[in-house]
Amino acid sequence: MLEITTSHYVVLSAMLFVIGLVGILTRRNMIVVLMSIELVLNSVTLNLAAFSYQHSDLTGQILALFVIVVAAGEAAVGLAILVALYRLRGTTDLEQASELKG
Amino acid sequence: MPPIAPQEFWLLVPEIVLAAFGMALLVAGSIGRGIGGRMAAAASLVGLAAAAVLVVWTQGQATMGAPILAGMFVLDGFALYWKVLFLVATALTVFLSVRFIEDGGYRAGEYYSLLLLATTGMMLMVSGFNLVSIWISLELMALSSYILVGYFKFERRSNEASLKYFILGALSSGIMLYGISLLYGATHTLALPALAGSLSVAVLQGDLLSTVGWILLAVGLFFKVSAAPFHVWTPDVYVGAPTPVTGYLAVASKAAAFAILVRIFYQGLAPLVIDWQIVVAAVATLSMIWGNIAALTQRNVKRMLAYSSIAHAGYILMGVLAASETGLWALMFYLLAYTFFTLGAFGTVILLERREYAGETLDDYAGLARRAPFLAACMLIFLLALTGIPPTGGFFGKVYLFAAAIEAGWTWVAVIGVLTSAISLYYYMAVVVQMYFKDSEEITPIPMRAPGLIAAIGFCAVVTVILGLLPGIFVNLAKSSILPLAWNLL
Amino acid sequence: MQALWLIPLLPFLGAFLNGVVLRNRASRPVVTGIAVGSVGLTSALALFYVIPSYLRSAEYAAGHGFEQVLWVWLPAGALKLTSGVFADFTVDFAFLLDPLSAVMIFVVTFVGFWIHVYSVGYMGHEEGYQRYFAYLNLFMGAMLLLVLGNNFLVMFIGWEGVGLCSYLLIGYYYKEEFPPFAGRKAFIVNRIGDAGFLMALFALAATFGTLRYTEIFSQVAENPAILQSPFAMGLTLASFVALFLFVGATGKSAQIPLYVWLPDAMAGPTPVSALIHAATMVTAGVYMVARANIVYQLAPGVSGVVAVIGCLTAIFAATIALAQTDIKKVLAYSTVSQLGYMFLAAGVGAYSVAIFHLMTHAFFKGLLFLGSGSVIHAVGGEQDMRRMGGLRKMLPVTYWTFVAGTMAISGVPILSGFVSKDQILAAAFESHKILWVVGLMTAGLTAFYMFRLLYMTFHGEFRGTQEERQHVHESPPVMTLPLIVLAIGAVISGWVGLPRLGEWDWNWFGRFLEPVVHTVGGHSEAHHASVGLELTLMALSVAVAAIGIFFAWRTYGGAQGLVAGERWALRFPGLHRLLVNKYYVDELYDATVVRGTWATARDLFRFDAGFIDGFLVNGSRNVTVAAAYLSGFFDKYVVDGLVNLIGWILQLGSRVFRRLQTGVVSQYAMVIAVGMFVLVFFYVVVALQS
Repeated sequence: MLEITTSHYVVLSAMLFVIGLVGILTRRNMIVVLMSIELVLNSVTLNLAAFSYQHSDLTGQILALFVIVVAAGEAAVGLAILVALYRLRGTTDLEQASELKG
Repeated sequence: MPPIAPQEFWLLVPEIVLAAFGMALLVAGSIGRGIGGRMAAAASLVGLAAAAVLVVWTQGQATMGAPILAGMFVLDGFALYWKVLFLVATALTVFLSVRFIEDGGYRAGEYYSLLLLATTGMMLMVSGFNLVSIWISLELMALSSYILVGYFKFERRSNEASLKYFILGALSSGIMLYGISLLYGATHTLALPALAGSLSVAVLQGDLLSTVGWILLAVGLFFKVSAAPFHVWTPDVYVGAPTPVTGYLAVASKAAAFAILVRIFYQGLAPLVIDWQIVVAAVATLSMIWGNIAALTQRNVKRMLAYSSIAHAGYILMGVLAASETGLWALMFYLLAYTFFTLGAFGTVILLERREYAGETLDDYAGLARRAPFLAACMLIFLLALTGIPPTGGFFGKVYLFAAAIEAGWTWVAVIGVLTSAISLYYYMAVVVQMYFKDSEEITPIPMRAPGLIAAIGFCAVVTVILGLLPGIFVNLAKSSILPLAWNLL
Repeated sequence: MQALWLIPLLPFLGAFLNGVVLRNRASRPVVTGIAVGSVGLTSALALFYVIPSYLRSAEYAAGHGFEQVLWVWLPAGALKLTSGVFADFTVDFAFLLDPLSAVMIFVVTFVGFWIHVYSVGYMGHEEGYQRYFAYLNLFMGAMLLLVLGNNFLVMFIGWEGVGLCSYLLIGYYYKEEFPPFAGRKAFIVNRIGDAGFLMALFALAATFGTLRYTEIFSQVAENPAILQSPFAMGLTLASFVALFLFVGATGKSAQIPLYVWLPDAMAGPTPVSALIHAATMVTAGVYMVARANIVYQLAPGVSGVVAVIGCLTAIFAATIALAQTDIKKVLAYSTVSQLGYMFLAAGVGAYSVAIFHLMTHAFFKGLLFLGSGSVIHAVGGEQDMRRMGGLRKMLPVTYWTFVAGTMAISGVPILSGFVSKDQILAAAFESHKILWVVGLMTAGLTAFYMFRLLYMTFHGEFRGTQEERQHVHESPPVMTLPLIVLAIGAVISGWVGLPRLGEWDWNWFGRFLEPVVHTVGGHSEAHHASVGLELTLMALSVAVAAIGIFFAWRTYGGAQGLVAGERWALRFPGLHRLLVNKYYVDELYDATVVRGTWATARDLFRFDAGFIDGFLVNGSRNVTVAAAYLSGFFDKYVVDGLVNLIGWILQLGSRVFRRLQTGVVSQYAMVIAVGMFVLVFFYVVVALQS
C-alpha cells in the first residue's frame, strides 16, 4: 500500500499549477482562462494544506482559507469584466480584445 | 501564541477609518442616483485627511518596529513614510479625477470608494509583517485597481485594459502565491523575521523548494513594479485606463509595490541577499533598456509615459540592488519625487484630454507654450524631472540611486542607467519641442477650468522644484525611516 | 542669536511680497513700508539683538563662531576624494556668525537700511518704484546670505544672487539704450570670475569632502601639508585654490583685468551705485579672501599676486579718475581704486585691516554716492561736473556731508579713511617698499581727484543755464537724513580701529577679528612697527594727502577753476586723452576679446566657404585640401555615420520591442511565464552546481 506523503501532494499541486498556467497561456475563451486561474489558485491551496498538515502549523490553513475567499472575489471581478467585454464586443474571445498594442 | 489584546486593533484605526469611508461611499454611491462627484471627492479627501492624522497618531501609540496583532503587522518609520506618501498621492489623484469622472458620465461614488479601498490595501500592505497579511492587502489593492482601470465600462479601451490587467494580475498573483506556498513548505513559517531565520539555514542546504519559492515570489513583485520582462501589461493598461487611474497606478501602486518588495527582500529574504541581487541587477538592466528604447518611437504621450514608468522601475531597482542604507533612502527619496512629477505629468495630460481621448498624441502638444503657458511650464518641469535634469527632484533622485549602485560595486548597472537616461532625453524633449518650438493650427488659449486640477498640477511642479533645490530635508526624512539592514544582524 | 536665520529671510520676504504677491497691486506707501520695513527690521535685529547676544555668548568668549544649521541642503552622497577614500559629501544650509560675518552684517544692514531710506526720496518719482524695491530687497537678502553662509556653497548662492540683482538694477532703466547693455556687460564679466570661483570650490570639495569653512580651515590648521601638496597646473593646492578664488574676486570686486564693468554699472540708479557698487557687493571679493585667509597664508606667491594686482588697480583707477568729468564715473573709479587698497592689504597679510577699510569705505563711499545722487537730483539729472559748480550755498546739507566724505577718503587725519588707509600703507611698508610707494602715490592722487570733484561741483559759479539754476533745490529730509548719518559714520567709524602705537593699543577692531585671522605656523598678523616709524609713515601720508588737496585747491579752487583745469589738459594733451579714455581698455577688450570671438567665428565660416567651395569649383588637388576632404569624409561618413548608426539601431530596437507588444493577452502571459522559467532555470542550475 502506497503511503501518501507530502511530496505526493506537492507533485500533484505542481501539476495543477502547470495545467492552470498552460490554460492561461493557450486558451482564447475568457471563461476557460478564468477556470485556469482557479486551477492555479487551487494548486496553491492544496500545497498550503499539505504543508500545514505536515508541519502541524495552522498558518498555512489560514492562508488557504484566505486564498479561497480571494479567489471567489477574483472570480466575481473577472466575470464582471467578462460581461462588460461581451456587451462591448459580442464575444468572449480574448484575441479579439487586442486594440491596445505597440 | 499569546492572545491579542483588543486595544491592539486601535493601531489599525487609520486603515479602518479609510476603509469605512470607502465602504460608506460605496453605499452612498449606489443608492438612487448616487452621490455627486464633487461631494464624493470631498468626502474622500476628508477620509484621507482623517487617515493621515490617525497614521501619525498611531505611531505614537506603539513601540516603533515592534510587531503587532500576533506579528501580522508592524508599525515602523518605514511604514509611516510610505503611508503618508500613499495618502498624499491618493489625495492628488482625487484632485486629478474630479473633472475627468464628471465628464466621463459615470457614477462617482464607487470610483472614489475603490480609490480609498485600494489605498487601504496599500497602507495595510506596507505595514504587513507576515506574508499572509501582505498578500491579502496586495489583493485588496489589486482587485480595486482592476475595477478602476475598467471603470469606463462602455469604452472598449478601458474594458480591454481592465481585462488584460486582470488576467495578467491574477496570473502573477497565482505565481507569487505558489512561491509563498513553497517557501512555507521549506520554512514552516510566513512571518518575515522567522522566514529570514529559517532561510539562513535552508539555503546552506541548497534547498530547491525555497529557491523556487522565493524566485516565484520575486516574479510576482516584479510584475507589480512593472519591471521587465514582467512589465508587459503596463503600456496597454496605462493607455486604456482612465487617465487619473493611470496616474494612480503609475505612482501609488508602483510605490506600494516597491515598498513591499523592499520589505520582503530586506527583511524576509535577507539571507539570500547575494542571490537576489543578481536577479535584481538583471531585471533592472532589462527594464532600463527595454523601457527607454521602446519609448523612443511612441507618439502617444500616455504610452510614452508608460514605457518611461518601466524604465523608472529599472532605475529605482538600483536602490534595491545596492542593498545598503544609501540605496534604501535613495529609493525612498526617488519615489517621493517620482510621485509628484509623474502625477503632475499625468495631470497635464488630463487637462488636455477632451472626450474621445484627444490630447494624447504628441501633436496635441504643439504650440502649448503659447496656448497655455502655465501648463507648458509645469509640463517642462515634469519632463526635466523625468529625464533627471536639475533643478528638479528627479535629478537628485537619480544621482542618489546611481551613487548607491556605484558605492555597492554595481558600477556597470549604473553606467547602463546613465546611458539609457541619455536616450530618454530624446523622447522627453520631443514633447518639449512640440510645446515650445512647434506651432499648432489652433491658437485659441486652452480654457483653464477645473481649478482643483490646475492647483494640483501647480503644487506638483512646486514640490518637484523644491525637491531639487532643498533635497536635504526630504533625504533626512527618508534616512530616518529606512529599515534596519537585516543581513548585517545575521 | 538664535534669530540669525531671520536676518537674510526678512529682506527675501520683502522682495517676495513686493515682487510677486503684491506686484502692481500695492500703493507706494505700502511698497515703501514693506521694503524699508523689512530691511529696517533686519538691521535692528542684527544690530540690537543678534550681534550683541553673540558678543555676550560663550562661543565668542572662546573665540569660536556661532553656527546655525537650518537644514541639510544637498546630501550628495558618496564622493571619492583625491586621497582615494569615499566621503559623505553633504552641504548644509547653515549660517555662521563670527567676528568677520558680524562686521559684514553690520555694514550691510546699517548702510543698506539708510540707502533704502534714501531711495524712498530719490526714486519717489520713478516708474517701477515697486520693481526697484523688490530688487533692492532681493539684493539685501542675497548679500546677507553671502556673508552669513557657513560654507562656500551658500556663499556662492549669495554670490550669484547679488550678481543677478546687480544685473537687474544696472539695467533698471531698461527703456534707455545703454543701461541694459551695461547690465549685460557686468553679468558677463562677473561670470568669467565665477568660473574661477567654481574651479576653486571643486578643488576644495575634491580634497576635503566638505565645503564648510570650519571643517576645511581646522583640517588645514592641523595639517598645513594638505594644502601644500602639488595639485594641478604646477601649483600647490593652496596656490590653486587661492588663485582661482582670486579670479572670482577680481570679477566681483572689479580688479584688473576684470574691473571694466564697474564704471559702466553707474548706468543704474544712484542709490544702487551706493549700495551695490560701492558699499557692499563689490567688497564681496575682499570678504572672500579674508574668509579664506588661511589658504592665502599658505600660498605666499598668490598673496603677492593679490597685493600687486590690488596695488596696480589702486593707482591705475586713481589716474583715470583724475580726468573724468562725470561725477559718478569719478566715484566709480575711486571705488575701483579703494578696492585695490583692500586687496593690497589682504595680499600683504593684513586681513583685518582689509576688512576695516571695507567698513570705513562703505561709510564714506556710500555717503559720497548718495551725496552725488543728491546733487544729480538737484540739478535735474545732470551728471557732468562741467555743468555744475557753486552748489555749496544751494545744497548746504549735501555740501557739508560731502565735505566729510571727501575728507575721509582723502586721508584727513582722524577721519575714518585716514585711520584705515594708514594701516594699509603701514602693512604694505612692512611687506615691500614699492607697494608702499605706489600706495602713497595713490593716496595723493585720491586726495587730488576728490577735492577736484568737490571744487568743480560745489565751489565757483554755477555753470548750467539760468533755467536749470532755478530748479536747484536741497533734497528732502528723507534723503538728507541718511547723508547725515553716513557722514557721522564716515567721521567716527575709524575710531574703533586706531592703529597700535607701542603701549597705546586702541585697535579694538583688530583684536575683534583676531580669532578669524588664522595664523599658520604661529606668527601673528603684522608684527608691529616701532612707534617712531609708525608716526613717520603717518606723517608722510598726511603730507601726501595735503599736497594732493593743495594742488586741487590751486587748480580748481579759484573762480576760474575749470579753465585752470583745462589748461592742464592742454599742456599734456596725449596724457589727458589717454586718461579721459580710460587707457582705452574697453576698446582694447572690444578689439581683442569681443571682436576676436566674432572674427574667429566669421573667419572660420569664410574658411569653410572659400576653401571647400574653392576646392569643388576649381578642382585644385593640393595635399592639404585632400587631407581636409578626407577628414570631412571621415566626419561625414564615419563620425556622422556612427551617430546615425546608433540612432538607427535604437530605432530598430524600439520597433522590435513594440512588435513584442502584440496586444494579445495570452502572449503577454507567455512573456511573463518565459521570464519566470528563465529565472527558475538559472537558479536551479546554479543551485545544483553549488
